[in-house]
Amino acid sequence: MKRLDTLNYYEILEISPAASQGEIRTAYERAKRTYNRDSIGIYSLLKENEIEELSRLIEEAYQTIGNETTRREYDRTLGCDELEETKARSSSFYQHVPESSVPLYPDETSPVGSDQHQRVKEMISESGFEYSGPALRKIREALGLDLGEISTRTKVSRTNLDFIESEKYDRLPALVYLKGFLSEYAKRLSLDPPKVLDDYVSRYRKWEKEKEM
Amino acid sequence: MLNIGLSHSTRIGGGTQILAVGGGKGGSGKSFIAANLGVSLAKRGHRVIMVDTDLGGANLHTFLGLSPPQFTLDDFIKKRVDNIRSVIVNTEIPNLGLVIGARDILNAANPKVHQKLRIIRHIKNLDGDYVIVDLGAGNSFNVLDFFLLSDDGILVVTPEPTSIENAYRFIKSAFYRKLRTLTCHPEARQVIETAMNQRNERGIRTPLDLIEAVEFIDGGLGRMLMREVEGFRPRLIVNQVRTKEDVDVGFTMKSACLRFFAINLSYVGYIAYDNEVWQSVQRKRPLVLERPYAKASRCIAEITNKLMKKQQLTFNF
Repeated sequence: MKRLDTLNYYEILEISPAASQGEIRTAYERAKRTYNRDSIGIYSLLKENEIEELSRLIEEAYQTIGNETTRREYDRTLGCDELEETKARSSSFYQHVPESSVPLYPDETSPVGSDQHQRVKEMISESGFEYSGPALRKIREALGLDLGEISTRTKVSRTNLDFIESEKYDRLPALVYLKGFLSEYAKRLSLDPPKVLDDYVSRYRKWEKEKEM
Repeated sequence: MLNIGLSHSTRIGGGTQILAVGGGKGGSGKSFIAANLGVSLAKRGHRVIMVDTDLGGANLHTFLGLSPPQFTLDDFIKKRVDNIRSVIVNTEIPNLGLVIGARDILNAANPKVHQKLRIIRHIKNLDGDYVIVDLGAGNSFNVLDFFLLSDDGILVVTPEPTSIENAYRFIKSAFYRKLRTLTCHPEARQVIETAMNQRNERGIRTPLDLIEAVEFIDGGLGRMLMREVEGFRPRLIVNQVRTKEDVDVGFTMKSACLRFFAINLSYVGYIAYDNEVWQSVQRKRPLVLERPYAKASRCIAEITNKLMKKQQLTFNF
């Protein structure tokens, strides 16, 4: 393990010597975010002068390897052996993965993890998909949930849930109650309630219009 | 006292894996996470035994909805039973057994060294796929010794300065404690003890400083300790995450630990802040059972996957 003052610029930015200019730029921005005074992830770890020194080194590293001409010159001074060693060690740095590989951040609408949720995600992303009654039933079944369980958790009667799924609009309660039921139901299925309400209520209104005609 | 059929089980995947869940700060969600990870693993068919070693503040049983316990670790500490297996109680979840923490606050909170070593020895001999050890707050020697039951214990932090500060202190303390047990060299032990005082006169602030100081005394010993650093790979969970910046706290700690401590922290995941969590605690029901599709439950499922596969989070640019 090397001390800070003995690290080369690639190690300072935690990037492989094989990195592209785009990757170096991103690594530089990430390093600046990581090691600044307001970063709570380093709270209590470093003294003020150490943060300053590190920030200076991060800038210096980017000024040098963030430019192809100065980078080539710097690589020559490092020599092949050190470049190879740094490349080998770089597996313990941040790992770079394609944007779509892991749902990293918490999001109401992007289920994390299980195969069941992956299937639901695929259903939802199909073109022309809308949250109709049958679609909600299909999602529920894909998640392996039965109506009884949903009813117990949401306190919406099983009968009303069944009417929602089979789109028996004439049997459903007034719209104000229906919205509340749909919202609870959507939450149980880990769906985005406003989106479910939008789709379902517009289908409901369409039915109302047709009924009036 | 119930037999949940764990004592004669066959092991899978190279033996029992011990997961000690700690992190220094009280209230960061250690017991909640331990309980829900245990349930999550048991639901996937693994045989799990949970041990509440929060001596003096045990309440893991409450997270699992168990009534005031009849048999506890206290019965084992006081030798009313010979083996810790005898105080494993059944939970409502198949495959999940629990050793409920001691309730005799005055005596149990400060066990004698031989009592602690007996607990550790018996935990190491428990037979299941996973043994999850819930630790108390702080970084007393008792807590550190339970954390060091394995080289890859789990640290729980919340994205708050107080929690981060305690976590760094905990990592350093655990590491120094580990090194101290590994060396008999009197001068090296003296250096390690000096290092445990933050404001020591030798200016040792990080594990890296410590190893250099030991290397100065005995080169071979220094190299041996360096190898130990490489094997010491605590895992990190960031709890109560509200923003992308909160998620990044885990990556920052990983980078800082490697850079300044030479310790390779493995960031196994985060748990989103979710009102469902406190509601499940109020109901005394594990969240992953009660609300399997809640945000926090999905995060726990993801962490469970990572722990099973021994993976960690990767950074998305």
